[in-house]
Amino acid sequence: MLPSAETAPPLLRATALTRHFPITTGVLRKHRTGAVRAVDGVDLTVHRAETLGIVGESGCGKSTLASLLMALDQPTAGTVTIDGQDPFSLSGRELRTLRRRVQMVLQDPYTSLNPRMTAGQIVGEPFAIHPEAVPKADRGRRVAELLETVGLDPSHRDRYPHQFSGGQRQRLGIARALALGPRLLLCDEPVSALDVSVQAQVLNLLQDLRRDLRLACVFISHDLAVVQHLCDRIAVMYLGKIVETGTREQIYTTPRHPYTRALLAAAPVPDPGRRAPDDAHLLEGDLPSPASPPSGCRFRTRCPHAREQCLTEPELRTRDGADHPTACHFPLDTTTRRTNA
Amino acid sequence: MSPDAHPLLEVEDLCVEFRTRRGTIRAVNGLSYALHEGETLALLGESGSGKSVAAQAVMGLLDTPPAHITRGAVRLRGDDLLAMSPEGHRQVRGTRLSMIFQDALTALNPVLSVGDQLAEMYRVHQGTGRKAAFARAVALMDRVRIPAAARRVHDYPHQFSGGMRQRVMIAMALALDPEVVIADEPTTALDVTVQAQIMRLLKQLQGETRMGLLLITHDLGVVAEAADRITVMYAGRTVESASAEDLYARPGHPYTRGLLDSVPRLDRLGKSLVPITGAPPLPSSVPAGCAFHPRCPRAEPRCGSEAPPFRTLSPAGHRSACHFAEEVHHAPVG
Amino acid sequence: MTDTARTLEAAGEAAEPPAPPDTAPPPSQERASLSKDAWLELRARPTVWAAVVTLLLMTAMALAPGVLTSLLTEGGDHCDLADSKLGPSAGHPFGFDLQGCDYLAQVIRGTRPSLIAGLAVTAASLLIAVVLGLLCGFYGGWLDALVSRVTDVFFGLPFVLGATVILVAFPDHGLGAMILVLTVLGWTTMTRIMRSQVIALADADYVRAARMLGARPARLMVRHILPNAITPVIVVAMLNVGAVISGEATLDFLGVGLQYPEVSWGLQLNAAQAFVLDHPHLLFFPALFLSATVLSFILLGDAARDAFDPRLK
Repeated sequence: MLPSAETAPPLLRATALTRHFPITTGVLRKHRTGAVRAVDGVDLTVHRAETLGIVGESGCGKSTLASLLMALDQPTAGTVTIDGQDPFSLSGRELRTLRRRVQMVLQDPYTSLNPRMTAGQIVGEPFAIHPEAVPKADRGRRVAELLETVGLDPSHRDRYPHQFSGGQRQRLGIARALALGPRLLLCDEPVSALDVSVQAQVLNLLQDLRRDLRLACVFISHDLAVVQHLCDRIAVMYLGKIVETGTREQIYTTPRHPYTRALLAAAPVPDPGRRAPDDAHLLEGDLPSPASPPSGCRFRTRCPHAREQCLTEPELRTRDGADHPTACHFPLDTTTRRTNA
Repeated sequence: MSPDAHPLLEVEDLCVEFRTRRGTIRAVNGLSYALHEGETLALLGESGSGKSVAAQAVMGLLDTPPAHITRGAVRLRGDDLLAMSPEGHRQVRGTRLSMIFQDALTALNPVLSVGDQLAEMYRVHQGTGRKAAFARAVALMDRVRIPAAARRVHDYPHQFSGGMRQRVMIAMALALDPEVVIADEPTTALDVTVQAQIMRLLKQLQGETRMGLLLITHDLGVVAEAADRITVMYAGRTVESASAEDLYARPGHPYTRGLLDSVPRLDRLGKSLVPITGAPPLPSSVPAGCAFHPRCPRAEPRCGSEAPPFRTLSPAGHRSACHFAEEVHHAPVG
Repeated sequence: MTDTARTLEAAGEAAEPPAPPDTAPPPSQERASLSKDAWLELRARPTVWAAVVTLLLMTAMALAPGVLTSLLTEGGDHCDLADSKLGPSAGHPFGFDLQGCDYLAQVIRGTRPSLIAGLAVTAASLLIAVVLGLLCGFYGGWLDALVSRVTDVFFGLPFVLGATVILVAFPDHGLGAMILVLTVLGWTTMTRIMRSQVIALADADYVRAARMLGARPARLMVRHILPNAITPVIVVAMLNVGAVISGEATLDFLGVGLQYPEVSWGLQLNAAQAFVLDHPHLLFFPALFLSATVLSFILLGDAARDAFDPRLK
């Protein structure tokens, strides 16, 4: 990370961001009986040209968080600031202008492209929506450039999505996201739907684009190894909250939250020599329901170190800015490093 | 490896075709492997590699038409399953050979309680009475570490979490103490922490029963942690087969090597990836010669015309189907 | 440990080579698109061809009744009471009707109102379905709630009985009024299907992606949702043409639809009912044409539904 990035205002900031989905019952007169706390008080910042990884298992709220950060969904409480602006207080026109600066790559390349539009139409659609971005005469050339930027052959622009392989389709999705020259790219599990042998192509492409275009990225994934590969900083999410934030080295070599350590212990490593090393750190049980999270610390039901205090006192909120914030009453000792091959 | 007279499960030169209106698709093209007692053999491949079709052929679950097994043999302790009548095959399935599916939610009947479904295995196959069968169902759920089994036996599949449902699937597969269990991507739909629990459970159960486990997956990490031996499939063919240690340390096929170089790893922070170019072929248009040659960094003209034989590379039984297998095998891993 | 540190450093500093492109030609023998697959499926069915030929023939008769009449009969539209109810003979393959007019010519002239009613009612219903379905499915809320309730109410009205009641109340009506009444009673099915399609597609990933780009609702609906939602509605529309044609004929037959001197298959069947035993040709030919037309539309609709439904493969 560049030193100047630390002092400049962040590109993206979320403060106490919360999204509860009401649970209603009753047929005629609906009344609220509870809420699914999908995102429950998340603070995070992304600086210019920085990549933040958000790791968590299914049900932790990372996709809801993505929708909030992209202003596709209204938060129940809390704020989002993109480039100094609050997207939820903007007029329609202003929000559309803001959207040119933040874009998103979706998970599934098989469903994220309109099957009835050609590759050229898909990549050129941003210009049709924002006609002021590129003069009409230049659009064809821009589309060809974009296709080339993501490693596709511009002569394939008249083909339909089903005529491309999965990896090529994800490249199309990336080209569409890049068309308007965003400063921030949010990637929601961009390789998890791809074949193993193709994932690395797309990861390397994202890495190159990030470097060449000086893009800031938010990279959401369940796969620790994938996040590790791309991200400067990583936030670990559990049941609607961020439990630990740190640099890649901090998270992977000296995790402070027991959940982070359990995730690392459970992730399989392609090396038969390291078979089943961390059995002691494997978690028992399942994720509790986000509709009725445990009292006190949310992780206590699965935490090997839970004590009396964890039962009653909610976990700390991870404040950004601290060096390696951890939402745990009894963080792991950082001097004992994780054994590494 | 001591060659047994009869391996537990032996598949030899298996070929499966799908004949459809739009042409014949050869999904499995000469697959061979042998699984021994108490052993875990991984069938590693990407989507379209034919690994699941091969498993269904062994289980006798393919519908004919459109699927046709055109060649090969499947022997369970020497009994040829393909030569059996459908009724005979059905008898073997469940009692001596069983399967764990990827998606437990669709594999279980949603309108029957879990206990009913487990008890049915005993009632149908062993003629156990209703009460006794239910008691055995509870014992079985205990065995796969489902907490409060006696209470949960009356719950329906949708009342279980993903991980618990997969345990029910495993319980069902193990109900009649089969000799071989085929697990088709058993943890792909699960989270990492739950995946670790399930893999650990399978390992423990295997220690208890000495069953042979055929693990079908695309995940190099899961394979490394669970498998004793590995068979790698690409475009319907076997491209490499070796012990797990040997395969990861000294791969003998450019595809395997490419896979190992292209996955991001937790134990190699920040290391750059070397991707395999292109995409896996569709089963309907597999390239001639070596199927991997259009993506292979080492390909020479003859790779496009001459299919490489599946050759033995080392006395330990490391085999590879590549014209340059020795060079790949002896090249340093980077 | 130092190993990790070193690899990290190396990764940070070394200028990595750019990621290789993936310009391999897209798989040529592709996972065929749904519409292409559907076409292959349709083309292989003889019933589809039979239905298409029948409908082309009917269309020709509706467009240019005179041409076909003069080709197939002697004397064309000339009527002579002396020939009343005569059976088929050379030059008059269908025989004569009550007024002694050539029956083939009359049956051919009866094609037009049937086809017009079927197509016009379906087109109007389709238009209503597309507009309401798109708006309700996309926006939801009170508009959706209101339209859904109205749809339910109209869905509950019986088609033929409802039309009879309305038409009896307004005796002096022509084909236009009948089209109006049949549309009012028939738009609900397609609207419900369209609405549920739109609701399913409004959350589709590519719609989300377009939303992210800042696309306005009109663009989302027209460019992204409509083309992907319309197929099942078109299938139902094809089936609907057949249903409307038989409904129109039923109303004519009951005497509440078109009135003499208009010519339609329903009226011809009505006139024939008194003489069925002695002059079966009066019943047979209009019934044959009516059934063939209705059946053709239903066959086409069924075939299209099978072809477009991936679950039946």
